[in-house]
Amino acid sequence: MKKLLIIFLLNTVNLSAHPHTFIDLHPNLHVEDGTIVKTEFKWKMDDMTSAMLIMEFDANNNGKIDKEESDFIYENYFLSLKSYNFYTEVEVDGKTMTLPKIKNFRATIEDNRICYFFELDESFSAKNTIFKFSDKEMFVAIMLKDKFIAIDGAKAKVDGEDMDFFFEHRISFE
Amino acid sequence: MSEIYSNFLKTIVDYQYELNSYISKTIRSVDGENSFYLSLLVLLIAFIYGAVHAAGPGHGKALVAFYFSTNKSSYRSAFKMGYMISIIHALSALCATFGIFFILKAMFRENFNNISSITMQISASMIILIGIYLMYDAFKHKNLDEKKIKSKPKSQFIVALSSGIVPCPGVMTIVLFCIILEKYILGVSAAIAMSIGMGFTISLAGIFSISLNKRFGGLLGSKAYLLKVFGALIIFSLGLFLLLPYL
Repeated sequence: MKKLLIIFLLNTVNLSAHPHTFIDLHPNLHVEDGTIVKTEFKWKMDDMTSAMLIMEFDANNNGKIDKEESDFIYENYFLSLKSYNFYTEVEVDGKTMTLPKIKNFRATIEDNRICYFFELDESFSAKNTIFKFSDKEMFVAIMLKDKFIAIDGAKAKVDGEDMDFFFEHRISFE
Repeated sequence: MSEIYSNFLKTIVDYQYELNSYISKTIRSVDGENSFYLSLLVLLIAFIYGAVHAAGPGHGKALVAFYFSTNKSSYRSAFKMGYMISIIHALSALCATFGIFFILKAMFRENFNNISSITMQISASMIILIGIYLMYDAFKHKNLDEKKIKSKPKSQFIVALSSGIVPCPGVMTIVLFCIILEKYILGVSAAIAMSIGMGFTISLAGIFSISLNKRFGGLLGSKAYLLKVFGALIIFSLGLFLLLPYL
């Protein structure tokens, strides 16, 4: 009863949003000699959000995202997520660093779903680095599952942290 | 304490993720011989999705909870309010989706954000006015016996309207998805089913608040109107909090 009352009260006073878009996060990290030399992320949007986005993105209606369309998405949609730090934080030696420049952005359609691919333009020491993923406003739910993760060259630890009003996914290295 | 809540939020998000994926796959598969049964399955999932979706933050539960925990009401009126909100929520979402898709015909996300912003400001202004009205009403009837103070159906309708007028993006997404796949009737039906699910959860929030009021409201005796004044102040502040980002 006490637990129910806590959930009820906090849920009532919490006026933040709730997720309407779900993004499958696929990290693809390549580690060489203890250094993360490639940090690529793939975001795969949920089917229903993708249907809406494909309607807007696939201007020539050919069922795929062409180079020009991908560039348009980058400029007009993806970069607007900068104010949300692209739902990504990098912590090095216990300090959150400014997110490095993003390179090699491209958008595609896979299984009727919109995918964004992008890389961070920096190398990190695997030993001291933690990647964190969340939307603090809870409008987007970042979903990180073991089967989505591809890391070679190091053993990673995937877990999450309770952040009071949202949940943060984390990748660190052993 | 917050750990219990964040675990609850994570569980709600995980369930919504699974339901979101399941409903889109089922909507896509509605075709041919089994379309009737698959449509019924879509409606069932939409109902559950709505109930789970409304369990998260938002959807007017704060307004409903504060209103019922500080105003004398019956359990029946909580269900009435929950379903009034969900009907208005569904109508608002259907009008916005069909309006943007067939009248504006472009930039769905941008137009949706504009409509959300306008309706949110209307909603916040109405909540402020409700707060002022409830405060006036509390002082006006402060000498009445606590048992005689009953919330009025008219004020309940205004509470429902102010909360439900903001279209739910969750409902809009399902409706738009069905429109894109040219399954119009299924889209409207799924919106209704999802809204019934949301109404169920919102009603539960109201019932829980009424039971709190019944348990603790009587302790104030002749000063019961103070609880109503407190509720009115909270509702007024809630409206102000929602309006501030737009000022």
